Amino acid sequence: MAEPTKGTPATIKVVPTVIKAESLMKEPEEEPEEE
Amino acid sequence: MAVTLVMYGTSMHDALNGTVDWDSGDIYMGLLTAYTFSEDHTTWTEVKAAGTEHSTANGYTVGGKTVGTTTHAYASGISTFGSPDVVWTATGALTAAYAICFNNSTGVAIFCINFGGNVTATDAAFTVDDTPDGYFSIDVSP
Repeated sequence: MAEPTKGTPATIKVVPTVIKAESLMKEPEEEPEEE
Repeated sequence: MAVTLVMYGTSMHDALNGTVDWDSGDIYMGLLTAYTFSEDHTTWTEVKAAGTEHSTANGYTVGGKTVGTTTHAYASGISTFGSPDVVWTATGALTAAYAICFNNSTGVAIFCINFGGNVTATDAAFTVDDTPDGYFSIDVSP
């Protein structure tokens, strides 16, 4: 008796997305020097 | 083929105002054969209007299916969101190019998985598998 035909599976591997919450507390930017 | 996951813009808004109940057991996933993504799509209905949902055939039923009991984890400033594998049993050839996650109660679209092209399962399992790190995470660590 012939073996049943095997199917072809498919798997989608999800690469997780990272939502980065940046701090609102930032170093003050330096003011440009006057010429 | 590179698989990419992108969030819909309003999903985070709806996380903050409670429109999406993340552990309600009513988080669904649907398959599309074609789609033009926009982060401004807000609902499953709006997503379908910009694409083509797989018809009820080959093991897929229009409207998608539940992702099961969603998982939520937190460690060291990182919250993750995941689910068990979402599996359709293909009868014949089941082909799709996108999976959309949405809240079936409110219709709010949460994220889109772009398979990077057509993926086909034939008379076997068609599986969307998130990693141990879930579908997405929110990292508030400094």
